[in-house]
Amino acid sequence: MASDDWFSAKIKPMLAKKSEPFSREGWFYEVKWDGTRCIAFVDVERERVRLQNRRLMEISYRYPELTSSLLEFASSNAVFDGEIIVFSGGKPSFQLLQQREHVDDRMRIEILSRKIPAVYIAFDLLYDDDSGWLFDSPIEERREKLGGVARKNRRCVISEVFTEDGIKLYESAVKMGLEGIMAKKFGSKYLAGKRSDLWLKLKKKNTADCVIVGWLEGEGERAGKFGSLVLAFYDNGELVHAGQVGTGFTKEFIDWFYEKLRNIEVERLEVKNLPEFRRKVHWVKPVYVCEVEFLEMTKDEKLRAPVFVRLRSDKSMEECTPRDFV
Amino acid sequence: MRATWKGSISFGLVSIPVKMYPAAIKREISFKLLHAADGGRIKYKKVCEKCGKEVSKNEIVRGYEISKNEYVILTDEDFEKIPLKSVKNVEIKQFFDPSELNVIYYSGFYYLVPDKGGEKAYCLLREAMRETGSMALGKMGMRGREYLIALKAFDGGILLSQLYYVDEIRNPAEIPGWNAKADFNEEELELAKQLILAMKKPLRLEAYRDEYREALMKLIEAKLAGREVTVAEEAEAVESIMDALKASLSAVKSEH
Repeated sequence: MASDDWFSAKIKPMLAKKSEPFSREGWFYEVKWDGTRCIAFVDVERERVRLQNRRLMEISYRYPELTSSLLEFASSNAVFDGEIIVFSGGKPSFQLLQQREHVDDRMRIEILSRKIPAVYIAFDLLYDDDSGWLFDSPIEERREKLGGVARKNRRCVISEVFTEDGIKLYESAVKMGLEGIMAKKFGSKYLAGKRSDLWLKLKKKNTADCVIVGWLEGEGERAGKFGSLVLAFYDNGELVHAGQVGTGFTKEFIDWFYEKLRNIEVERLEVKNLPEFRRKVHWVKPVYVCEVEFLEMTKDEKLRAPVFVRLRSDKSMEECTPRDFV
Repeated sequence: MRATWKGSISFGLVSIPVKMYPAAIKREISFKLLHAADGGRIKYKKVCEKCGKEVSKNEIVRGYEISKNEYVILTDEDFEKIPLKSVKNVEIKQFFDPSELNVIYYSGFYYLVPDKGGEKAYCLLREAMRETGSMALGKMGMRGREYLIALKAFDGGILLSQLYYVDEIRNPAEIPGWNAKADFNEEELELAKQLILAMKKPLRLEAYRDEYREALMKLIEAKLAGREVTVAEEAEAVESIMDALKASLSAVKSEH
């Protein structure tokens, strides 16, 4: 085996289940950073960095500003698990992050990397040169090593560990406008690609990831654009209608996304459980995934009062299962 | 990055699910057209020359122009009569020696990777092509066209080359001045050869860059400079959040 195998590994990030806020012995907490999940492979010897998202796709080219920062951040070869965030007004901004995520033009990427630079927040260490792979080490050991390997700089930081009072921390985080916090169990191993009870996300709002399957024409201010998006879950290989979302978009997003939708329009699409639409539905190829907030699930498994949060280019259609958020 | 195409390669009795990605990165600078007076985007409208009215997508049919103003009209139903056979499947027709394929037939390059479940057959095909020094020839359907393609083991994967059909390449003899002839003597030829050999060195493509594009880019950046949003809050924003949380927790502690 070549010695740089660690650098080209594909790692599915460990996932978390949703839970009510709690404070318990044997757990620690940290801020739930909401951006793009990112495994960062940092090779300080050969001065190269690989960024991989949760769909195992390479996203390094999108964040050129993180390459040099991560090379400074790591004092030896390392693989981090963390989140890419763009800040605005002291808070993570989905809208700005979205601008970074949907650009493929190399030059615009360069400009945006200076205009709205991203930050990498590391919360786990999966590899370092001395220890090798750390998947089987308990999380407290990984966190300790993370502190040893990484040195914060302008764009890269370590997410801080809070060892007490999860409930109070949760309340403070929500008050500050954050989505919530994470709770992680001491002693837990890194279960790549698994959603287990060892990592819990404590948050108030219900959110779901849905596939965008179509759009309805807008009226008034939105005439000539889309008024709402038709959403679906992906259940056992089938698209199942989840509802429509008509709020939460910025004007810029509507203008931009409308063009994208026009390009992927299809004649028809197989979607189960459809209601009677009073207006014409423009079906689209099921390639875009979005995150919505909603009040609750209705009895027939539809979203009540969904609000658009952001596109999730880091998630695939297959991840939009109807039970994922419970 | 999204795959440009998903499908399968049939090779003997196996069918290998694969995904295709473009090998080239578009780097040219593109501009949007704006109305100089108010900055609005310029929109194209499809207007009928005869009646002057704007027409929608379903009012448009395709016409093949035989002579001026004389068309053979084809509807969607007509197109459905000749379905693209190899839409989701590349059928390998033969293998061949790479030296037989002239560079002039290459029209575009894509990287091919295995899709779920295709890993083993994909690797087998790649290694077998590599070890026999062979390339594969096949056809694929994409965007309403049937393409001739070639596959080759390349680096850690398979390179898919789109090829021109033979009748798409112009015979150079049709080009005026193609078989140019002129007299020169041995000495002149020797001199030219020496010049070539003096300039000959190992190829380092990375040393050549699109300088016009870079200059244009600098120009755009300079114009942008005045409008730059200064984002002073980078890692500091993260830390101030964590500090504020810490403070809120210690406030609780001191209450007890």
